[in-house]
Amino acid sequence: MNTHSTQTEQDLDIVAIWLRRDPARWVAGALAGVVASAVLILFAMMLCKANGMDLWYPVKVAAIPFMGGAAMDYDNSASIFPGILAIEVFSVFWGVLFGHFTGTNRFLPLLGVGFTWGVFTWIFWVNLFLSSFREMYVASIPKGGAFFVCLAWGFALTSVSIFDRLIKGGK
Amino acid sequence: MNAIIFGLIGTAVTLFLGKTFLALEYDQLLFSVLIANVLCFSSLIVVLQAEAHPQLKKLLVSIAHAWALFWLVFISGILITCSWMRDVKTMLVLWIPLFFSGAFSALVFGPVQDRIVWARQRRSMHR
Repeated sequence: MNTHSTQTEQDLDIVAIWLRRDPARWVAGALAGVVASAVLILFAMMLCKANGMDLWYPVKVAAIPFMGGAAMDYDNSASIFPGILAIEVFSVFWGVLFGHFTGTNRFLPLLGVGFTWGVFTWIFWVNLFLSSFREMYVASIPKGGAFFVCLAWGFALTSVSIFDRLIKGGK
Repeated sequence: MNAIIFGLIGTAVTLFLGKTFLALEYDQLLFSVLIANVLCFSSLIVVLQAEAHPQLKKLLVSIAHAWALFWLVFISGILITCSWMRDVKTMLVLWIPLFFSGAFSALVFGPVQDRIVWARQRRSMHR
């Protein structure tokens, strides 16, 4: 069934990108999401350690929507795994979308989209979505540090090009 | 075929997330899916027409600009027509599923795009 048969003058065919079915690219995006989540967690933990906070603060914060305020208790290690899992699921989902909407493997365009993804995440997910949970608001995520963590996560998503080349055999 | 698959998946995810996590009613969610299709179609037409406009064409230099225009029309339309989407949590959870549920509109957009581009080329040939 043809849904985008005629190319326009500038070849800005967004329907072709929107409805592209490329499972290999989705897998590459998911793997990039796993890498990006590892970068996010490690970078956030480094920042927390450097600022004298609980080393596990970033993953415990991510567990708040499921475990409530108790997730943030200093001696509560039960919230670490759900927190890591929540970050992984979030990152893999956005990694797949990142792969879907970026057809290219060129570094600079991917870096640009990675930057946009990072800033978008910081504005909408960190500042608006997470803050809408009362316990999360009380935990008061440091916004400055979170901005750089989100940027690092967005830039790490550019690893989709590596996985895409590996999966498609260097094409 | 892709449009139908993406549309069905988007609709199913919208209904599941909206009913399970956001406590929205099925009529609200189905109306959102309908509006998403109308808005996806409208956004694509706006982008297509902008490409043909001498002044706007200068702004649409890359695919990123085309997407920005698409999202501007889509998100504005959703916020205007669906009052329940004016909540941050609802919007952030549903905007991606709704965007994919709007894929059905691509079935109509293909022939319409053909017609518009054909008419445009015919006009320029007659000049």
